[in-house]
This record gives sequence, structure tokens and C-alpha cells, in this order.
Amino acid sequence: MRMNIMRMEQWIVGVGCAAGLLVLAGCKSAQPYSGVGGAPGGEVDYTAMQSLPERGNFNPETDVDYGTLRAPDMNCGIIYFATDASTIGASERSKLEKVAGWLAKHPDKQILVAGHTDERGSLGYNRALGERRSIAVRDYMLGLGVVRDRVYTYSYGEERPAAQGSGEAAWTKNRRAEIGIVVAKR
Amino acid sequence: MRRVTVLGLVFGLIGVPLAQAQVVVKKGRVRVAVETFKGPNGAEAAAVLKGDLGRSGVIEVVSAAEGAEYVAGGTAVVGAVSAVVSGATDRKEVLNKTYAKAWRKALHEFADELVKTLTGQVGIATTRVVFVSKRTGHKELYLMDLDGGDVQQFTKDATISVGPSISRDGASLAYTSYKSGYPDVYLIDVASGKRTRLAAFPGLNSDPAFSPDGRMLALTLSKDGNPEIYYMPSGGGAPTRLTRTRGTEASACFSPDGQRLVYSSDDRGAPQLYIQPLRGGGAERLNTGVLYATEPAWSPDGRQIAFNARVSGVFQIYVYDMASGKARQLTSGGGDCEDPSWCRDSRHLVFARSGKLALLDSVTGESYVLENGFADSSEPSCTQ
Repeated sequence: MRMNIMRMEQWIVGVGCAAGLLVLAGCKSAQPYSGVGGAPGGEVDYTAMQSLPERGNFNPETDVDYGTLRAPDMNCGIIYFATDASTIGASERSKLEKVAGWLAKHPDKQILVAGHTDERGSLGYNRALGERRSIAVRDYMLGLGVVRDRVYTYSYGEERPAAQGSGEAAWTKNRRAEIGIVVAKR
Repeated sequence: MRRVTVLGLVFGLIGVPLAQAQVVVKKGRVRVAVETFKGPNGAEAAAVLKGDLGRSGVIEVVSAAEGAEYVAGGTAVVGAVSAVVSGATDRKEVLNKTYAKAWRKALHEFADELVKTLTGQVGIATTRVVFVSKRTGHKELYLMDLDGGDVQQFTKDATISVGPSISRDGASLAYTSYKSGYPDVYLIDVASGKRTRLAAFPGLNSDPAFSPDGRMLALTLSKDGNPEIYYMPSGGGAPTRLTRTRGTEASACFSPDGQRLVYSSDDRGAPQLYIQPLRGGGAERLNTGVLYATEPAWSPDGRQIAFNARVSGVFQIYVYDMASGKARQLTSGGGDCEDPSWCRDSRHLVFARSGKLALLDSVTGESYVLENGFADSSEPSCTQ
């Protein structure tokens, strides 16, 4: 249901942008995004937004296994994103269904979703965008019926690129969320 | 500069040769010759002072033969400097001070006093800049003077230390560290080095920014299910939520009166800048005229907001003028320009370009690399 609402919003924004561009074509002073004076969120009700679970008793830097879900037989441990975007693309959804299936078979396990960005853009925005990507994955998992305290979010911003170098080939690999299994409880 | 202009007008009216007055008014800069200082550090001292005065934007460093209006000189030893400024022709002293402190620091103070005395403007030579460098292989915080001198490493955590903000008076640093394994916000007392963890909520705790009086911090938290802007007492306490969207909010900065925040939000597509009052009221989008705007920095005089804009795939520094509602581009060319931070004169900005820190004059558009010996500096924040 939530994803449907999100998709509808994107559709509305898309139509709005297209309309804005049409207006722009005829009048250079027009704004593609109008609405100065309102909150960026407008009037939409966001009470459905779920607060994050308390931190688990593990260290995200050392106590997370990223290998299992990334192995060839699973191949669902890395979710890719478009530039500056945090929506789950159609090609990535089946991966999250696989992760949900794995969690159903391992009821004692929790996952950490580490959001990453490419090197472009400001560092502060990228830290927040990495978290937004992590939360988008979490929201999708919750939509699939996973309970909220089994999915932790995390952001590395642009600090830990998967591929070195500059250029679209590297950037495509770096705009991602890596899903790992929490392996240790102290 | 205003004073120089007024002086020029007055001289013009009372019949001082017009050509001379016009040169001053046209350039807007007072011409000062710097003599080699006496003492073991004399040559270096003169070089430091020349650099400071040149960066002020209101002093032109010239030789005595090039029509200097004033001459500066003195004596510099390791722990003390005495310095004098005199009229170039009448040799009348206009400034004479002795400083009992490290000679570099003393000259920065002298440079600011010289600027104040001769132009009425506030100097920036005593500015301290906190920045991030990865020279050890890990991102750590460093402090330096505006001329790139006196670099001091501030964290040695071998983790990710990023997004620093320094209080106006330079007494406190706030930043994000992953040292606990999680991105948390910490406060460091600069004098004692004492560190306090201020925000360690579930999810992201990042990008703290001091209020002008240092009592509050604005920051990004995701604890309620999305990266949003909050503010909290810098001494610790409960954060108050400001924004409520489905987008990514980041990089909050206080207005000079401490009553509003400017931040970036991508809730309606590419990130744009918004201003929102702390005590109720909606967000107002700044009409910057660019499709991608992040990292806003409000000038201390409240008149301008500098920001990062992506133009043709390259990041440039822009300033938005509050009175006219118009933005203008300050940097150009290749190499991303990021993270602008204002100096106290509301004229100069420090920013990062391809791993170097640079000083940008928002009036002339000129920029100078601040050579600190580091190849990978980012995220500067200046004392004001």
C-alpha cells in the first residue's frame, strides 16, 4: 500500500515536472517546482513513517556478514540506485523479495542495510542520501511483511566506494545499498 | 572600503589632486608597502604579513616606489612581534603595537588591526579553519590558519571523521565520527581537547552546525524514519524536529539571528534550498535559478547565502542575494568547487576544490589556493 502511494506521488511529480517544462518552454521565468511558502512535504500525511529501531548490540563495522546474500546462489545483497535517487527500481525488487524469503527461513537473524552514494555531490548531502537509500530498502522490506526491528539502517555516504575512479562505470557501481546479516551478539 | 570611498569624496571636495583620489576610489584598496622585519624571523614575517594583507581584499601590497600610502614594518622574534604602520610620506605613526605571542599569530593579529585602522573593515587574517583530510589513510579533522600555516591534527581515531563545524569564537568543534561503529555527533572543546558525544540516535546523526551564539546545533537525524533537520542545545539535550518530508534533508545552517535555518531538501526532485523558522511556520524555497543546490552557508551579515550548484555536471559556488532574490555564479571552469564557508567579513569564503582549500573573494570572484601542504582537504568551516 505504501509503495503504491509512493509510486503515485512519483507519477504526480513526473506529470508536474512535465507540465512545468511545458510552461518553461513558453515562459523562461516559470518555476518547475512551484509552491514557495509551503513545507517541502506539502500537505501529504506522513504519519505512516516508522521510527527506526533502537541500535542493536553489535558493531556495524565488524559484525556484519555481507557475503551470504551476495553469493552467486543468492545474488540479492546489493541494491542499485539511479543518480540522486532513493527509489527501489523494478530490477531490484526481486532481490528484496529474496532477502525477505531468507529472513523468513532464519527467524533469529537481523539485517543491516548500508547505503552508499557515488563521489559526486556534496559530502553532507551524500551522507543523508545514503541513509535515505537504506531507509527506502527498509521500507520496502517492511512492506513485504518483515518486522521493523529486524532491519537496521546505516549510511556511509560516499566514503566507501565499491569501484574506484571517476566516470559513469564506477559511479553506477557505487550508488548502492549493501545488505548484510548481523552475525555477532555480544 | 566605505571609509576609503568617503575619504576620496571629501578629498575631492576640498581640492586634493583629483587623480590621486580617483586611484583610491577606483581600486577600493589602500596601498601599503611592507618592509623586511628586523630579527631572526624578519623575512618570513614580512612574507606572512604581505600574504595576509593581500587576502584582505581591501589592501594592495605595493613597494615603496609604487606610490604606497603607508609603510608597515617592525621586529619579529620567536615569541614576540612589535610592528608599526606609518604614513609613507609624513612618516606619522597610525598604529604601533607589541604582541607577546608566537610570531605568526602576532602578525595575523597585526594584519587585522592594520586593516581595521586603515579601512574600517574587519580583517580575516586571524580566521581558523577546521577541515577534513585523508592524508593518513583515514579521514581526520585538522585546524589551520587562513594562510595554511599552523596546521594542527585534531582527531586520531583511524575511522571516518567528517562534516565539522567550528563555533564562531573557535572554542568548540562539532562533527560526525564513526568511532563507535555508528555515525554519531560529537563536540570537542578546542582548548582542552575534551570530547563529548552529543547525538547517538538510531540511524544517521550527522552534519552539526553551530548557531551564531554557539548555544544550539542544527543537525541531520534519521531516528524518526527519514533524514530530517533537527536542532538541539550544543551542551546536550533533546533534539527538536524541524522538517517532515519523504525526501532527503541535509546541511542545515543557522541565520545570523539564530531564528531560522536554511537547508537542502530533494523532496521535490533534485535538491533545492529552503528557509524555515525554528518557531513555527512553513518552509520557503529559495529561487536560486539552479536545478541542484546544496550546502547553504548564510553570511554573518545576513545578506547572502552561498551554496553549491551543479551546473553542466560540475559543482560551482553560487551566492544568493537576500535583498534582490537573485543568485550569481562565483566560480567557473573544471574541478568541483564544494562546501563554501563564510569568513567574518561576509565577503570571503573558504571552499574545497579538487582536494585543495581556496579563499574566494565574493566581490571580485578571485580565488587563491590556501596552501597547507595537503593534497586531499575537504569540508572547511571557518571561525567568524
